[in-house]
Amino acid sequence: MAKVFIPTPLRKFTDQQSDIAIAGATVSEILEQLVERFPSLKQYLITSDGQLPPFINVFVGEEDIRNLQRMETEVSSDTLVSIIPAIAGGSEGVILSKKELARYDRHITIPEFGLEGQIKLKSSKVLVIGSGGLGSPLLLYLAAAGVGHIGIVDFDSVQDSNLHRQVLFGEEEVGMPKVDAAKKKLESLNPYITIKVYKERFSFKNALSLVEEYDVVADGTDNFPTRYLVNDVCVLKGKTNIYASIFQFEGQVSVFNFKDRDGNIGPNYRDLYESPPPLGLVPSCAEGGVLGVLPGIIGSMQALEVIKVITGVGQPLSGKLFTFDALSFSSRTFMLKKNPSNPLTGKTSIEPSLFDYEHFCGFHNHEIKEITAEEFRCLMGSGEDYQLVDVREAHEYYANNLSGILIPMGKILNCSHQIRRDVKVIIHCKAGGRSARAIRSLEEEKGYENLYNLKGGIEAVMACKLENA
Amino acid sequence: MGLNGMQMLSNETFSNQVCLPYSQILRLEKWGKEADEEICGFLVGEAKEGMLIIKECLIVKNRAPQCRSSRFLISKEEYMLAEKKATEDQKELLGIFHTHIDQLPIPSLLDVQNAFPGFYYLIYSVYKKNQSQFKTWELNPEIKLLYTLIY
Repeated sequence: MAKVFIPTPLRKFTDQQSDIAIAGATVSEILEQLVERFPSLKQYLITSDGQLPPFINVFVGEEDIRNLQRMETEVSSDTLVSIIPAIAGGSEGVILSKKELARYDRHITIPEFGLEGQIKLKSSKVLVIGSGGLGSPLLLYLAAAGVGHIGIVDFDSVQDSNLHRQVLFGEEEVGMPKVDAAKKKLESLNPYITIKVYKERFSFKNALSLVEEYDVVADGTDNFPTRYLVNDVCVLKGKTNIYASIFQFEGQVSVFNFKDRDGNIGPNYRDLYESPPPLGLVPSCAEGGVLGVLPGIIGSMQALEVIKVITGVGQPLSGKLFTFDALSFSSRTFMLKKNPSNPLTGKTSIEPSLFDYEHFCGFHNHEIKEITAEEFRCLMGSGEDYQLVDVREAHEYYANNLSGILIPMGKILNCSHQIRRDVKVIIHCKAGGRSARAIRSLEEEKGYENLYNLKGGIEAVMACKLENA
Repeated sequence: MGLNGMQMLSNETFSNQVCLPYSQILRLEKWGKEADEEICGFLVGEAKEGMLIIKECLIVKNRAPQCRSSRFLISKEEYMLAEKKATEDQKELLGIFHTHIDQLPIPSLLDVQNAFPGFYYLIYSVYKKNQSQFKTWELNPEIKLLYTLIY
């Protein structure tokens, strides 16, 4: 029988006994036996995943079991097993100044949240991917709440058509890189936090190194390649992914890859959608539109879940998919379970690794020819024969166009007979994304070789005209 | 006689009351102002009807391997010795004190992560080796931070 030393604060649970003889071959067995005899000790000695809580040290003889085989450390009959409170701490990490305590007073007032919640927020690192419709309210609330370290990834610049929903930006920021405008705004909102910006596209090339630095990732993008990439990199790196998406009048929120207190990991995006839909089936916000206030609602919910995950307050939306329909003002919450055929975590999963998600989602990355707005203006004035094709939707076309022929993106392959092969064909949309996809489809499916993407779309031409007016 | 040694933060949740004699506050103040590193030790006394009466602050060496101006660590041996001494003196180990240098006496994340539910914690802050303030707190069994009232 090994002898177990019980420290003073735990003796109230052992009838004031300080030395207890217990049989067992390992520390794990000894502690289990001890807890069986004195059940009130359990919360102080063993976590739900069978480990030692951080505030307890166990010594076998003179050696800390964390330096031996931890809970599996062998114990002989004459060994002294000492349970000692871990006594450590220090001001390192006291990061809330008096001004901050005053700033966050209404948070600290909430009993379930308190100072502890605020300290956790200040110590946390959150990576927000995309600073657009969802990213705007998300970033504003995370910064206001006092999340200590926020990273923002976005390669895009602020456009006038963003302002109806991207409330992080104002008219004076049109044309500025979004990350720079966001950093300026958030720093003026909360000077006690740090904002790190990455003016680049979130791709399989930089995803691992970007995510590695952060505790939690919030995906505020609206395209499938990034959504799958964010999901997969979070699974690979063991990070919680706070997901949200919007389309027209509908929004979704969920918390993926969340590790609960028992060490169980919740479902991820691929449990919901194993693989992406065929290209063109689900339009993006740019193609399908979105009611401006909707990302405000959904992005705020996303911020709420980020804060809950960081602080451990409440039940995060793990294993559930929340959906909101703004038209009927109705919401539903669906239960999510792990899908056995999930390619990352299912039964037949392979060693996960990152790859080209653009290609995976049907975007083929071969180079296409481009023409700038300035070059296009020269072409118009040169007298050279050319054809201009507008692949935007009809309502966009009738609001403003460059007198090209209208073939909406969804009809581009069926109506390809209207596109000439004998002259230079300039294809454009609003900003250049849809037209690039149209060109790739036409080149691959129909063998076109004379297509040019108008860089920056009609917006670039309009801006160019204004500059030259 | 009531002694409130610091300006309380508003909106705190309180549990037990702690009685800390003025003589011990002076000792903490002296140690804190003299040291360049965080000082640490044990609170020894007795618990009576929800009131903790601290009789002695027992200082021990800060064994943190590095960054001792912002970290402290008490060794297993010193814990065992303190327990032995408290038992011999027919007192109890009630908790732990340590200082924060030029920082508020609010528990850091490091303090909270290492806090033992059932112990009382006192943080004594020294600013520029001159002004000082302190605060005591505990974790309840649900691992929530609670402040204690000081008399």
